[in-house]
Amino acid sequence: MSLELLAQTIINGLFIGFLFGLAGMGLTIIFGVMKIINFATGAMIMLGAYVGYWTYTYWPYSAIPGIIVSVGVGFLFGILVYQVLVRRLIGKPLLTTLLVLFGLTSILENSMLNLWSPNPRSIPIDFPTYSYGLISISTSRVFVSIMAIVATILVLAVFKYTTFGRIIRAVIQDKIAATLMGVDVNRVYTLGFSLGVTLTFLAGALLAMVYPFEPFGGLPYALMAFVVVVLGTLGNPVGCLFAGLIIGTVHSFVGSYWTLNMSPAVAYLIMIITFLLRPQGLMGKKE
Amino acid sequence: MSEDKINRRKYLKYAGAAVAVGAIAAAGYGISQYSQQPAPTTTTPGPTTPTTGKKKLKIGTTKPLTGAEAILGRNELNGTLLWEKMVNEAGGIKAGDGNTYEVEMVYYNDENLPENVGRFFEKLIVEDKVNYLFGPIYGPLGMATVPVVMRYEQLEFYGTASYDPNQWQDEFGEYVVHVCTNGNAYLRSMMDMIMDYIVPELDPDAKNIAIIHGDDIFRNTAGVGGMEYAKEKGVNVVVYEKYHTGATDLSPILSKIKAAKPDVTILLTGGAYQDAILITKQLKELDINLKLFFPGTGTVTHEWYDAVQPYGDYVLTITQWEPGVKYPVNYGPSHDEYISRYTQEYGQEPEYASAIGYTQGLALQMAMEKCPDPLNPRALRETVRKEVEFIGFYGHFKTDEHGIQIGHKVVVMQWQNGKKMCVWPPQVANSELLYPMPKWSER
Repeated sequence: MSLELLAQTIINGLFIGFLFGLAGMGLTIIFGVMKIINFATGAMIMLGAYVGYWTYTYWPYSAIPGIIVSVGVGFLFGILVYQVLVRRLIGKPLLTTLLVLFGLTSILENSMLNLWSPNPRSIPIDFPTYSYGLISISTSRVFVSIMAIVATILVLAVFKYTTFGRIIRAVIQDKIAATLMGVDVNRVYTLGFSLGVTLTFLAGALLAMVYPFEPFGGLPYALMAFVVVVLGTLGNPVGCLFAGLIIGTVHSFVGSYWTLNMSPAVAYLIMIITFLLRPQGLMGKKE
Repeated sequence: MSEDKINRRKYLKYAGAAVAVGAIAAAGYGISQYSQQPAPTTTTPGPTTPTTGKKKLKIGTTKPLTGAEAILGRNELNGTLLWEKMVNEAGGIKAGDGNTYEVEMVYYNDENLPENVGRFFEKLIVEDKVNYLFGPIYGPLGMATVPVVMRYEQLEFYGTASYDPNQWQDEFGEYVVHVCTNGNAYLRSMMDMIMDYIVPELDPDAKNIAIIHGDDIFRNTAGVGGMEYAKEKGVNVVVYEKYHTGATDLSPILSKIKAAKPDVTILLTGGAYQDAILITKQLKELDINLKLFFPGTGTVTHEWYDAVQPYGDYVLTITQWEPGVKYPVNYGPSHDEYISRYTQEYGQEPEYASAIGYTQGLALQMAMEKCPDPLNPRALRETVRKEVEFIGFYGHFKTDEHGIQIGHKVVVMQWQNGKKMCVWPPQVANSELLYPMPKWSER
């Protein structure tokens, strides 16, 4: 019995960990490329969930169209937000970024409130669950996990094997040198920010398949994304995914073997310990 | 020092700041989350010319007429306004002092903000000089009224089920009369159904249950009260767990329940609407096959049923009142008369908040009729405590010495083919309990 609870606890933790990792990945890519912290992450996750949900209401047969539409809208939304807002924040004091993006959060949340009402929503798609003894695996969770892994692999492939990826890495390493070599930094920033927002929207669309959500429900996910980014090393997508899995598993163990109330506290404690003992994160090198 | 290093430090600093700001935002979350555009406060015009020979009884209230609880607030107000209209049509309240009183309601839109409730209650008492107060629906708003009525030693007919018995047990009863079944008694009807019906007649193992609940004031009192009553009734609570209301994932707790199987047969939850969706989905995902479950009060809404399709049937819900739940009325309008008048007046069927709003008035009316000094809050309070007991369309009304409602009981409903059917108590049940639930894989 206890072994089965142990196994189920690990499975539950890994499943939610993939979502944490994906949410953190959007955040870490934006920071990695342009050194901007996306304080509107929580609202963007919820917006991604609502776009997925809204698509589902028009096509209530599968969650896939919702995910695709959410990813597309996320990319365009990222370009829009960058061009209208974020472009003007580069080089400004970080406090300005914080205030402007919290303002954006408020605008997004209240817009969602007016568009979709405060009632929590959920995509009622029936995914089968497979049980082995007392261990159960939901195919919806498996699907979410596979999507998170695929997204990570794609991001890494783009960064490592495409010209765009090389340009991004060049900008990350030395913005001035890249500019002198003819790189259009503004364009790279636009696409980098959009990529991060796209991943954030994807996390929201996947979340909508397994969890209920409401306009102001992004904050807990955003806070976990910050924890994951710090633990997994800033600007490192793979580190983010691993950190997500660690935090997800810790959340699950604390809930199953202690009390769920302490789960966020333990996650923040891990973040504080990381600040103190290994500020470069799990995957970073000591400077 | 590299640029990267500077930025990393800045990042860490601001990430820390973000978490701190997030925590502050979370603290303000409950207040800000559903507030909408502020609307101008309004008062009813009220009767401009009092009828000769009749005295005027001014009753004040606030309701959330905008914001997330606007529908409930409007419905509760409609119930009260219908009572006002019906009483005045009948010639007013013939009070125990020999006078007849015509009712005038004064109300404000509190915009679903507790700070507005306190301010408006003070205004109602000091400026509008109302005789009595009716509390608003929704826990945080109701709680905000209590310090004000206590400070001014006024009498309020409470409009919601949330209160903190530990905080106000003694003083509370002097100034507040409960109309609803209190949060700490919310799970009692379910326990009664389990021990008085399911265990003796259907399934002896049904007394092994799990209780989990959120940690906000209403759900905490519901869960703790349920736990205490379970002990009293001899129910065997195999798993008991509290979680932070609004938690995004409850699979760790539900896995505990699964690990306790096959002992746990029934799960009772004090959960919010979102929790009710989450618990239903995660029970199915984790393939936890209970014989019955109640995932929270949010199950009373059709929105919940739609959100968990096709797994809403067999799930239990509880409510203060539903159309179709008929009591043998000995005071006030009958079930059919009330529904007919309400529908005629507002163009829609009443729901539980409307019934509470009407019953606030009905309780005050009986107290006025029996009290020899009906405009004295303390005298009226004593009358409510000792002499006011009736069965209205909403059910039995009787309070204890602390003003807590002990007559009225919540009814247990079960979703059956997309409809809520009353399955407990037997006096008002209109359907048989479907027990046990089929396994998830068989549905």
